Amino acid sequence: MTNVITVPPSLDDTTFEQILEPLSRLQPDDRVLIDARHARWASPYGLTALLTLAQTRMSRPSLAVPEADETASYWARAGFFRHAADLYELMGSVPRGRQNESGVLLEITPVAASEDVHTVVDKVQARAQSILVNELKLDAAATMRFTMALSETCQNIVEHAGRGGWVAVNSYRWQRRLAGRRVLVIAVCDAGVGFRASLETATGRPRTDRWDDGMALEEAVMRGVSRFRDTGRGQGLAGVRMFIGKWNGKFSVRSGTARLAIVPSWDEDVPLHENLPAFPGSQVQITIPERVDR
Amino acid sequence: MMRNHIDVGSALRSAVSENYSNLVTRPTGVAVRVYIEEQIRAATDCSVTEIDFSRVGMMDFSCADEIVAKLVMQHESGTPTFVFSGLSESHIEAIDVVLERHGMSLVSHEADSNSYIAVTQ
Repeated sequence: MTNVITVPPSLDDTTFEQILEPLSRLQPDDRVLIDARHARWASPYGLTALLTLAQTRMSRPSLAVPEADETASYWARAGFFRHAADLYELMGSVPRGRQNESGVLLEITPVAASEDVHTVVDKVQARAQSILVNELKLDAAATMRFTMALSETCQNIVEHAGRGGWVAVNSYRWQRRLAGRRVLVIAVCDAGVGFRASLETATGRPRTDRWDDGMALEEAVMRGVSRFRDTGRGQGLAGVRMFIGKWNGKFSVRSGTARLAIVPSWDEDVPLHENLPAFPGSQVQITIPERVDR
Repeated sequence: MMRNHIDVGSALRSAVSENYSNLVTRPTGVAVRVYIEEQIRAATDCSVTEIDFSRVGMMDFSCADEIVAKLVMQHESGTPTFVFSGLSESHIEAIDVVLERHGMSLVSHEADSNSYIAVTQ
């Protein structure tokens, strides 16, 4: 029997939970059809997380391609189908995406090794400047900080995940939130071991009564704890958090059954979600809004 | 006083890849630091080593830790003295964050110049 899971019309970090909820009730080798026929929009997080989802399945899942030409075309330009073809049995009409005309800041890019992080940073650095300065109204120094944040989040995969993941970056205008301001969104998703298992490999880690995915996220993101004993380790995500704060941005990390977020004043999220549907690895999203002078 | 000048941009391209201009990822930082240490060992008569970042694009926290913090900590005896030059605002930001974790900070080496030394807080 094939289990059909419907992709919400608007797929982002919040609505992706609607996919994970039924998925978490299935066995890893159960047959799954991800039905995206009625999807109309997907954020970088939504697309990279869909690829990650396929990596978690023991039997190759199927994916029904969006029926709306505009949606399917965007997914193609974002590089989704190029990677999805290796992971999913694709059903429906798959448009061809021309990468050099994508209009996407960074198409979905696999990250598995240090070299991949160099490639991502080089690609984005050249393209990000005009968006950050002209569209998001950030100062010129923001480009360096932005690429630092991107580098550190991608390195999280290389250093801790134990398997490759995906990164995507795009800029768009929010229709309903933030009074239609433009935002830049980075999504970095993997289906690796996740924060809790990574920290558990650290020798000498003090055992506490409470040890779960939420606490592992707090340790890593808020306190810069790493599985490595070297005191220089664990600064990456803590440093990213600092930059995001300067931009009044949002930073969220999901791992296992928890999601931790640094929530700016413009958002209504909660700092820590627990007891979410279990999902392997870690899924990071950074949202940088257009600056508004007060 | 003999001064050894090390161009980190050249070190990056020699030690890792001709195509790279950014100091990102920990393996890159390790490779560049090892290359710099070889240069330091080769210049035995120099008491001051200038580490010049002017031909480097972006530097992330991992590279700041591997190159600056570890170099300074491995030569805590003070020989050679490290002077960091050609630093951009973002380089300084990354270095400050990692040095703070090791109980150190970056201070100006000479008045009105873009060169710095790392000191224990």
